[in-house]
Amino acid sequence: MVNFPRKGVEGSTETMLLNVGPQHPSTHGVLHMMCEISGETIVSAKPVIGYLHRGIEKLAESRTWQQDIVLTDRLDYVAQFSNEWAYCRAVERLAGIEVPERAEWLRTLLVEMNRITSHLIWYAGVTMDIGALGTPFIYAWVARERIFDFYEAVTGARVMPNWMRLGGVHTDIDSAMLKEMRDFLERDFPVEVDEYEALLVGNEIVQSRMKGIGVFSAEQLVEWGVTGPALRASGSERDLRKDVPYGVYDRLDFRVCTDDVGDSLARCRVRLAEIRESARMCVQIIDGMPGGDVRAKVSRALKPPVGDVCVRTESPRGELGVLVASDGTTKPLRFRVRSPIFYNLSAMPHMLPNHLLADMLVIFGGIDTSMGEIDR
Amino acid sequence: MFGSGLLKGLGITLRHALGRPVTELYPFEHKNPPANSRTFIAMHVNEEGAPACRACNTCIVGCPDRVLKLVKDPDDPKRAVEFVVNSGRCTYCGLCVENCPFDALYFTQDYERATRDKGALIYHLIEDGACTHEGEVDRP
Amino acid sequence: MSAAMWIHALLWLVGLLLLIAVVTVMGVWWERKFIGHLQRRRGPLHHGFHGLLQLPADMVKMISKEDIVPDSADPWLFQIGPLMVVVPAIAAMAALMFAPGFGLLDMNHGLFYIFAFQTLLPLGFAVIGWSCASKFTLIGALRAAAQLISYEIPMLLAALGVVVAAGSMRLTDIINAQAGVWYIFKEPLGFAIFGIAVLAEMNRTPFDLPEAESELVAGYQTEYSGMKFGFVQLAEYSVLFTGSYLVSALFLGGWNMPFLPASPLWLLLKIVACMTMTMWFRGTFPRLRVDSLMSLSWKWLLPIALVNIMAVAALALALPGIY
Ligand code: SF4
Ligand code: SF4
Repeated sequence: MVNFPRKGVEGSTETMLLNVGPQHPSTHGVLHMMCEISGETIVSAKPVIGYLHRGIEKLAESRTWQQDIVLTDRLDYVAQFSNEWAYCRAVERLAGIEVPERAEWLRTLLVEMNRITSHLIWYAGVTMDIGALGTPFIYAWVARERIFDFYEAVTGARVMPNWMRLGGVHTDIDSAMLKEMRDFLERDFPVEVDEYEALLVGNEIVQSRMKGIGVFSAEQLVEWGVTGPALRASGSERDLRKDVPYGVYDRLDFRVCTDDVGDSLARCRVRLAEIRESARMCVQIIDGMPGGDVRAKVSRALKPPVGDVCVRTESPRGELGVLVASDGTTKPLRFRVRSPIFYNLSAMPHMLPNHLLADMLVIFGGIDTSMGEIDR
Repeated sequence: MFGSGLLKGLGITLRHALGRPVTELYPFEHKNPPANSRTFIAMHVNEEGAPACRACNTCIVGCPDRVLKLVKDPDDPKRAVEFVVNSGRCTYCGLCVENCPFDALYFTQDYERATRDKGALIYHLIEDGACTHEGEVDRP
Repeated sequence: MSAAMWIHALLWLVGLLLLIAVVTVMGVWWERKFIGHLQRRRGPLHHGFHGLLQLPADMVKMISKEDIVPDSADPWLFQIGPLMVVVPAIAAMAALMFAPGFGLLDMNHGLFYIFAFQTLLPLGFAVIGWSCASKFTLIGALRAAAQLISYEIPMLLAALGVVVAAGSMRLTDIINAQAGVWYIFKEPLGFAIFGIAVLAEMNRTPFDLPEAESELVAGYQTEYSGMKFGFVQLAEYSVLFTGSYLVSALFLGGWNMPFLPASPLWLLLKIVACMTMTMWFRGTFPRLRVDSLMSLSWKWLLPIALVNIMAVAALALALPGIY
């Protein structure tokens, strides 16, 4: 039992400890939330994590540099390509591997598509949480399924692609497939995003639930370590794709989606805008794709020089940092992940108090958790 | 106006209700996965009908999950007498197929191997030096 | 009472129970099917004609399931809780009239009788929630009680408008009074209030807070399994049927249809239409938050319902022939 600091809520008599999770319909994985509630008002909250711990960081130390890419898929299992890319970029910088031009474009393309599918899962989850019985959920799932068909055709697997390699990517995408992707993302997909928007932010019931709920300023969020769309909804322009461009982001024309209200509804708007923006970026990438090789020659027994490298990327949930340290052998000395969701979730005890139990889900949806990356 | 968003939502759901469902009737209708999708591992045979594996061990070293097992012929180090796949451990990462210098391995597109028996997940690609053709499927 | 009356009552009782069974089976089937198609799925498909036998199969499963009683539950209240919900829900159906003179009890205060039994429901929910000794069920039960009680008042006031206009509480009279113009056209405001309040009474989206899955797991029924859970579901469908019946009877003209002879068929059609509406809402809308639920009832529906009933009364006095 954890002793909560007793904070008096006006008119309250006694508080009650409500354990939300680890088996609860809306904790998105196995998160355990200890909420002290007074009536239906949350007095204090404490996330308990670790139920999905698989020891990925330690496991990585016993595998070769190439084999670890398989593990990165399993970090944040809704944003697989982002993790792969962060890891590959770190190791490539450490070992001084040049990545062919086309491979960079391909990587950017699939990572942006991955941002779409990841946000679609967020959309599905958040609509489910506020009680919409799965209709918007399935609509989002249908579009996600289309994109997953592309993943499967390109990489060979739907969820755990293991597609990026040190020095490039595993398989090229042929022009017929690129055209198919372009058609879908330019023609069919925006229509569906309109529907998502109408069913979520256009719905008055949703507005009444989200407007003015969980308003945080950018300074507060930065102090708590929150990054990603949750931060940008509070007016911050912080986006690593613009700030420290990597991949081919410096050659793309895109805008950072922000909103300055900073409430839960703004966070939804930002994510939906990011879905649209990513679809536009994908079309640009497909149009600008150069030809050429997709994979540089890298020895299977790669031995990067002694040292360490830390790389930051903008994953769909915020800033994903990867540190790899090498002692000059075929296996990493240390593999460390700075998971954006871990820090976003750590802000929960500050965010939740004085909100209703029902608001918990809304605020929760605003930061878009994925337990695979928190527990690792 | 208040309520227009609600009405629009109702319109969207009704339109979908009148449209075609997207369900795939899985056990009744089979969908063939794309040609490079990764499922169970199978072994190519060469012109003489012998296994294409040259017992070089690359795939075994490269496998992150120690799925594969190889027994070499004591007389001929380039010949495998036994090649076992413990597919229960496999994560279908594709590294073995990719790493094989002789292109001996390939992925089938068979996804219907669910079983209650863990032992059934272990299968031989080569037994007594001959290809068993286990893991290959012919789907209509 | 004479023997004939007893037989009459008994036959009706059996008939009503059969009706409830059929309504539940068809209702659940139609709900699954309709929501399935709203969600671009197909709904039940393989048992019987387009999955019509899915629910009977589910019922068999439910009956054969282990009857789990949580250790810390109050044994007595836990057992009788579902009954306290089912009995009033079914008893309320005794007063439903399906055609002129065709019903179990054509009471001259039938409407009052139905509402009286429906007011018992919050008690049953409270007992269910309390007896489980689980925090989720407790919150769910308190939500259910608060919601049902606060929406009862606007609902009754809106129904009262109809009673004023019809000059009777007998359902037959009310429906027959709509042979010309339905009350939905005479009292649109009352219809809107009644519709919203009935939705809340039936615990349907957007007012399904007592069983809000994402917050409270399954609300007051979290701990129930097997046939006890089935009973609670049965009560919900009975309430859904009664609510749809009331909307059709009070505002949509019951068995009347313009330019066509009156027939119970119309009534059935309207009930199905009302039920479909609730399912459509359920498939589209998210749910309200607890505090906006309460303020909707007390700050909006109640005052408007009061204005409505006064307006109706004034109109009835001023234009006796029309209202
Ligand atoms: S697919 Fe991966 S895990 Fe499976 S056998 Fe090949 S290398 Fe090992
Ligand atoms: S399958 Fe290929 S990689 Fe594996 S031992 Fe045989 S030849 Fe070598």
